[in-house]
Amino acid sequence: MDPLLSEFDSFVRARTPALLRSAYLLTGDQHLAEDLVQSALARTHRSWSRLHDTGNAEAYTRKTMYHLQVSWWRRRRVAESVTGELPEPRRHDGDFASQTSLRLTLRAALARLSAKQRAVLVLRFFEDRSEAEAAEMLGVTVGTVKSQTSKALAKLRTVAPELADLYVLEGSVR
Amino acid sequence: MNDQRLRLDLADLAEEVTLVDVRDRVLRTSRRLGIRRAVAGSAAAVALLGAATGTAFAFSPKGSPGPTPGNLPSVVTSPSPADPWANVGRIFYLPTVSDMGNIPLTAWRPGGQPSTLVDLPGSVLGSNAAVSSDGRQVAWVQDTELMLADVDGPNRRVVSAHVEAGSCWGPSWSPDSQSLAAAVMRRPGIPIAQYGLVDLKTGRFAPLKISVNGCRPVWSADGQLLAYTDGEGRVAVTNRHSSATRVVPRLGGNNVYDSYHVVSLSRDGSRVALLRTGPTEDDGDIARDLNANAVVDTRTGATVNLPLGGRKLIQAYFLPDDRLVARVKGGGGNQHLLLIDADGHLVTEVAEPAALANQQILAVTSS
Repeated sequence: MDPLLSEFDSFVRARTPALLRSAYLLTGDQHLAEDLVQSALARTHRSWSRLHDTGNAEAYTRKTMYHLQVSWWRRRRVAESVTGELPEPRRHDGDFASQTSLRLTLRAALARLSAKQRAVLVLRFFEDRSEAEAAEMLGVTVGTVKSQTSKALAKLRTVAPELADLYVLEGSVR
Repeated sequence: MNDQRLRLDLADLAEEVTLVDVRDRVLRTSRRLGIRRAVAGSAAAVALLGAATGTAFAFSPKGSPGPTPGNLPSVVTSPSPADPWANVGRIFYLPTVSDMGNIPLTAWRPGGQPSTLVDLPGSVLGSNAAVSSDGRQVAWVQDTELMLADVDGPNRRVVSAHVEAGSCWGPSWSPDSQSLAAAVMRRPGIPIAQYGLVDLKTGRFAPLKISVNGCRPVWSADGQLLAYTDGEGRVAVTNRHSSATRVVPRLGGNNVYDSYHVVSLSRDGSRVALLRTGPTEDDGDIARDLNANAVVDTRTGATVNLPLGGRKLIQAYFLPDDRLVARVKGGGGNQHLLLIDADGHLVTEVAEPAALANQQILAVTSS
């Protein structure tokens, strides 16, 4: 096998799990996440000859993935494929701690965010990127990351107040 | 909001995803998008190294020269007023295959003789050359430059120096010949090109809300609609003003047939000429394929019956008045052009000159 192709294969197989997790948070859907990772990796494949020995292949792939996701078409497909219905608000009792139920609520709440808002949340709170890193990844200013993060968190509180309540109950200041 | 709790919840949610091996799909997508030949072996190595040095297409002859003025056009016979081809302009051809550094653009009008026009770089063969709707100019992408020249050679210029190398999005001419659909890089460091229209008068770029995987766009003659493939065998028709998009039924996804090559769209977007492939057929190479084996109703996905006389459809182009120029191959191998009216009736047909046997039609103009 061509050594470059072999290297690319290794890269794909090593990094796909992490990419899929981020893509799932960005899209909220298994198939859309696979499509997103597939499209981003295809573009990485295209540039593999200059990326393979730079150590930047994953950064390039992630950057591509975020830009693809924020684009119009995928945003529309996500909106079509994800139900906008949130689970019924839950009571503040012992069942509230159910992690499965919490996941459903968080997933539905994320679906209410814009693609860019969801992207900044994933970058900042899942990938633990700094504001500067998130800005560089998305090709926007740090100010935009700040404002989008703020809007995203505010939207989460609005569409899923029980989530915000949970976080507050656990000691945070809203 | 408790940031740490949010982090944990996101991490927990991310674990819902099922981990799958996408390697084969990645390589197929790469190939289908026209980005790169996904083949192993030395050819791929050469291609990858070629890309590293800035060569746009793996199969682009390295250092292929730009266009040079070709032979002067020969005198074209004007059709008589009674000629059914009277309102058809010129038919433009490029060779089907060639290993030449330069390839000539050829024009022919039924009743006349083929005329040789501008020489184009061999790298555009089968990939991205496009003749304007008025038949006066030809555009192509060379490396990252969107180029333009008069069809008879002069006035060569660079329209944009920042087109995505190897993109399958255009160039494609608007019906008024005033703008080109192209994939232009947004700015340095941003890996994804933006799909849109380059205004040839002002040089301005207007982005379109189009699938990021959109490929091979063609316009309706009223300038309202664009049809394109999505790299997954589906064909979409988008209103460029409202962005309303319709996916043609019965193509791509779980359907029996795919299409990766859209060739021509009718004036109102109701019919599209395309290359349709079945489950046992090769999806084709990465290069643009101008062959068409079906005309399909974009609302139902049904095949439109054409009066081909039992012959095989090999190319098809709609005219602005919704007539169709169909190229067919008969049992003897001779190729004929059929003129079919908007109601699907055969108006006339003509045998192509033998000199055009190994050429493919690049465009049919109305003037």
